[in-house]
Amino acid sequence: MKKIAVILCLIFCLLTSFGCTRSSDKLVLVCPDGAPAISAYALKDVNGIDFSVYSSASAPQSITQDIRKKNADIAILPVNLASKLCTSGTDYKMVGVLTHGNLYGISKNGVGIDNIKGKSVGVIQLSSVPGYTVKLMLKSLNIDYTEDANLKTGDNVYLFNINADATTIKNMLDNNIADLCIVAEPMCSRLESAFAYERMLDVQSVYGSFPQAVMVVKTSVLEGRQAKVDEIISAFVGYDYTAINPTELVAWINSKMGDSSSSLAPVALSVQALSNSNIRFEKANTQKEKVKNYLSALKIFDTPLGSVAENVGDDFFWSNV
Amino acid sequence: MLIDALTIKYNDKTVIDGLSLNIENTEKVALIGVSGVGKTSLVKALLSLVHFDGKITNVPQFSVVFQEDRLVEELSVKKNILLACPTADVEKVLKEVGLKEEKDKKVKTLSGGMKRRVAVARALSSECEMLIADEPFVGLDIATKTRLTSVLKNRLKDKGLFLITHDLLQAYELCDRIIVIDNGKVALDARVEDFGLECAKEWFLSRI
Amino acid sequence: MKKTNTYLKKTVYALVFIVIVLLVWQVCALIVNDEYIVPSLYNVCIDMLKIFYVEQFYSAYFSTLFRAFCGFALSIVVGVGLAFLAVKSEVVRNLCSPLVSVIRLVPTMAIVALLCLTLSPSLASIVVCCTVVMPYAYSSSLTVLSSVSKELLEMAKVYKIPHRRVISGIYLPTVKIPFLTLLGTTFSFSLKITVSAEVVAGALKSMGGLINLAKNVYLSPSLVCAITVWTVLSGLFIELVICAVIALIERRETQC
Repeated sequence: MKKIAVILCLIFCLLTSFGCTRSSDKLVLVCPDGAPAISAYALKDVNGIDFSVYSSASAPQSITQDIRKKNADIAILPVNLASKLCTSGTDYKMVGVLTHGNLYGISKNGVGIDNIKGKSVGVIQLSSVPGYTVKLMLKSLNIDYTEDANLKTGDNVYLFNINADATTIKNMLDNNIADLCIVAEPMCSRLESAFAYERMLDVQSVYGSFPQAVMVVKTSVLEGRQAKVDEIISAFVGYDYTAINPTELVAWINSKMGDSSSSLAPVALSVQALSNSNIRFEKANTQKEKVKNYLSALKIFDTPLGSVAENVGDDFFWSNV
Repeated sequence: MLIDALTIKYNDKTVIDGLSLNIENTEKVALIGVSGVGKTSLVKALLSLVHFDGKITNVPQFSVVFQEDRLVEELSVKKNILLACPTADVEKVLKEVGLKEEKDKKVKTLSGGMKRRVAVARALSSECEMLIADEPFVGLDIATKTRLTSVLKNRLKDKGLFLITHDLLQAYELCDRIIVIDNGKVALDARVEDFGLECAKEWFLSRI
Repeated sequence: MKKTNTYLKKTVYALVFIVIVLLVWQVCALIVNDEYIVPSLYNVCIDMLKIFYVEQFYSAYFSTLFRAFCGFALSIVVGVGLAFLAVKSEVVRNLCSPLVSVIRLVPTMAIVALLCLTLSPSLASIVVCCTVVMPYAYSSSLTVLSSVSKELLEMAKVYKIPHRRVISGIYLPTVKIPFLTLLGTTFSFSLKITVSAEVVAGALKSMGGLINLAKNVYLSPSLVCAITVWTVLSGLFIELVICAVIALIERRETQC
């Protein structure tokens, strides 16, 4: 009986090991759920790519591991994460910017950037890039902000973190807990249409568009498989995201998420939502200064405990694009 | 104290069956019976700690020495007495039972015999008309037994005593009246001067 | 003398255990040789010290302690109160039993997610802490209160001891030490739950928030470990304080 069990185990290991071996032909692309996953949809018809989409909760760690262990050939990730993981540009280089900011403010009471002082503003991911960008926006307008409710005055803005789900945001706005909620697309369009809230703030218009998610590619792939890289970039350039069938998009993303499922819903992916998501491929060469300036701006939020982003040199960027 | 047609049942099992007794509040009565015959249940009925059918009237003020010590182990001897009888003369009663030096010691540090003496001291401290003592001397050494017997004799001169015991000798030493319970009913009710110790022994032997 | 030896023995065992844990940790770090998966002891210690120089840490630390204390206090009041009523009344006990079981079985993170719909992350953390800790406080209190001898309570009834003196003279001396121990373990449990809830709820100015920051933004697993170790040490410290209080009470009573 024991011998049979051992033999069965060996057979099982053998079979599963076949499943584990990586096909040397295919490129592995990893990205988080949300706008980066939508951007990756442009490559669905490109042969030779294995997609791996991570849920928002696990994305930072999973993508970090994939890059550190060099399991990923291509990664679409937040720019600050890219700057920390690929600073030197030795193993990975930034090839392009895919999303250029999708943060918008919705309000029930007509609160926008003009009358934001003295108001309570809920921001998704306040301790991450969305939050930092909102703070940069306020700083650029010389508007003080505080995260302490006790320090709220008529001259500053009280910022607090909100979870990125429709029910919470609806509750915040309906009960006047928040005068304004800054959320990402497609959530914003969904809330606007479902509950008749007003879109009062376009962060990108006020602060300027900013490199939110970038694409990095393994240096060995850039050097050894230039043709494939060109094919990928060609697929991105000029892709019309507003023409995507939302149902097919979500089904595709879900098929790449393994056990998880996407937070995106077809009903939320209207043409307006996809358009406002600001997804378009811009080549690294044209985005160098913008990326450097944005990363530099983010560094004001560094603390002795850690840095939000790293300043990058020219080596970070792939110049042959 | 008048006990009239007292019946105590536990889960359909009748322990005391229509028992009637008339006890003077200053009488010293010994209640004897084999284990499980209902002596403690009768005591619980007198103390209203158990449900019963029948009537108990003209109940005197009781003080109790329980079968178990029922002392708060974490408290001192003095505090245990004051807990039950806040106005007690602790020094005096502890001197009587020979525990004056242990006044401030925690009960849990005392021996079994000492704990029993504390329980007796507590019972004697309260203003009562009748003392109920449920097998108060079980497991005690002879010296302690003798001492406590002497204390009870002295303290209960004009008070009543309801003594539950297996010890015939003790019953005859402390009490004026012997009541034997058997099968939930009174099997024998006699005064000590009328029914001597030897008669009692013979009576018990005849029932084996 | 005997008691001192016992304490010394316990201390030595505890120290040996800590040394073993640290050794195993460092060996694992050496074997894995990947700071991201198993941060080295050295880096974690450096981060533990670095944290003291960051103002952000103090506001987060004391905010978390405050939330944990609020959740703890609420759960003790509700748990012990219900336990006291349950001891007195079988009806209450029978009603509480399924209620407490249901509360205990609800997945913690589900509670967090639901509460975050209506409460701020800060308040949600406190409520979650109370919800998770209260069943534990209730069960433990019920056990302690039930351990008070029924015979003693009968004695109190016979001697017509007033209710207030029954509490101070019978309940308190019996349950004092077990309750103090319960307070210590409950607080460290509350702290653990509060930090977990803060991580999920995304509460700012919190140890949980700092863990999120360290994990998702700073990408510093050693900092995550450092914050976790400080949380564990805080809980241990509270338990040690309670133990010291218990020892002091016991010593005072022995001297009396």
